[in-house]
Amino acid sequence: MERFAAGEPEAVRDLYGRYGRAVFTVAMSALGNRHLAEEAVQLTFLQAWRAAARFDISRDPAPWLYAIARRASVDVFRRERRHGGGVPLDHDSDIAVLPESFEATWRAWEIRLALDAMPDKYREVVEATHYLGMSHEQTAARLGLPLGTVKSRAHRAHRDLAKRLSHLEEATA
Amino acid sequence: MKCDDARAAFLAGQVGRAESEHLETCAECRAEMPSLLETRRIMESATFWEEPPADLEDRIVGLVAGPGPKKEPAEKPPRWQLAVVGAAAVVALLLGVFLVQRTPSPDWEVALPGTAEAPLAVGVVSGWNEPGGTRMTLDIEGLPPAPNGFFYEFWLSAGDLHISAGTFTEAQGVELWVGVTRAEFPRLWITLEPIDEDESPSGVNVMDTA
Repeated sequence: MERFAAGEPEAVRDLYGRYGRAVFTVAMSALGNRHLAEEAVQLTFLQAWRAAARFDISRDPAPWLYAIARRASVDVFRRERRHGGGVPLDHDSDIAVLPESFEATWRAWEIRLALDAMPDKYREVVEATHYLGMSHEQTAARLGLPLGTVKSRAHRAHRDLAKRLSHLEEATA
Repeated sequence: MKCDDARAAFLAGQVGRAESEHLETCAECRAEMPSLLETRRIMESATFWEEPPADLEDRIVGLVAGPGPKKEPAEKPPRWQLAVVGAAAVVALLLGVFLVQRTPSPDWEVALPGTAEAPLAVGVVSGWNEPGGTRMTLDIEGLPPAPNGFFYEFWLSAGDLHISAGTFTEAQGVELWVGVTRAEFPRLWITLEPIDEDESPSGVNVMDTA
């Protein structure tokens, strides 16, 4: 963050490497459209860049960047609503009627960061379970792993994920 | 059965008899089940797993590598921009505001008077039209720091459509960026907002061009 706050353009790559997917996740959650989400991600990093000199580098940049991402997504959403959806949409998606709630996009952001912090071998099992809706047997066949290994990884991955997200549980309890 | 294992099984949607018995009897785990369910709901959404395009990083780096906030101007400003600065300086003097000259010169400037909520506040908004949006700086006097639990929010509006350009608590050295143009959103105003999840403007309007 020191290089970013100092205005070095290449430092944007570091910040994007850490938070780019999470920012895209927030934008997709709010907008439900890849084209608009890409625009919101660009706006997010551009606005962060513009404000970098004022950022306190001793602080965690994640909440700051989330706030910018959420706001950029809402701005894009409002602009599209105003212009009646002039930007072409994906055929299998549409702009959400209303953006996801602050709580929901914040949770999506935190889940994405938690997954990005996990080893690939855990993340791919979580993705197979929830995104692809696969059973352990199907996951084992897809990944070419013994069934026992998949079961073990799935359990460890979800235990790890639950722990990483425990602060969200406290917040909603 | 440990709570961690039962919650992991619940999050995975793989609850067996042992986990089920634990979840039924453990009050702490039961209290966390709504949160775990919400996490599952999000992870079962296809949009959650969408990946950004591979070239997005390069596009962003290309955007920020353009004229940035810390870069010196490479060219002398054109004559018409100097004329805009001159006219704006007159406005600033009339308002009793010291206008900080920036280079390159702003593309537009507008006086921002205080409302009945902040009658002593006066200011000037300077704007630079840039690819993808507008950069603005605020030169404001007479606006006190936001009280605890509140912040100021700067808006651009067209009719009842409001775009936030950012927030601040003290009106010193404020620089803002918004992804729209002033031509589209001509009204500029500042509200005092409570810290909550409501993202629409509050009723406390402190400065306004309208």
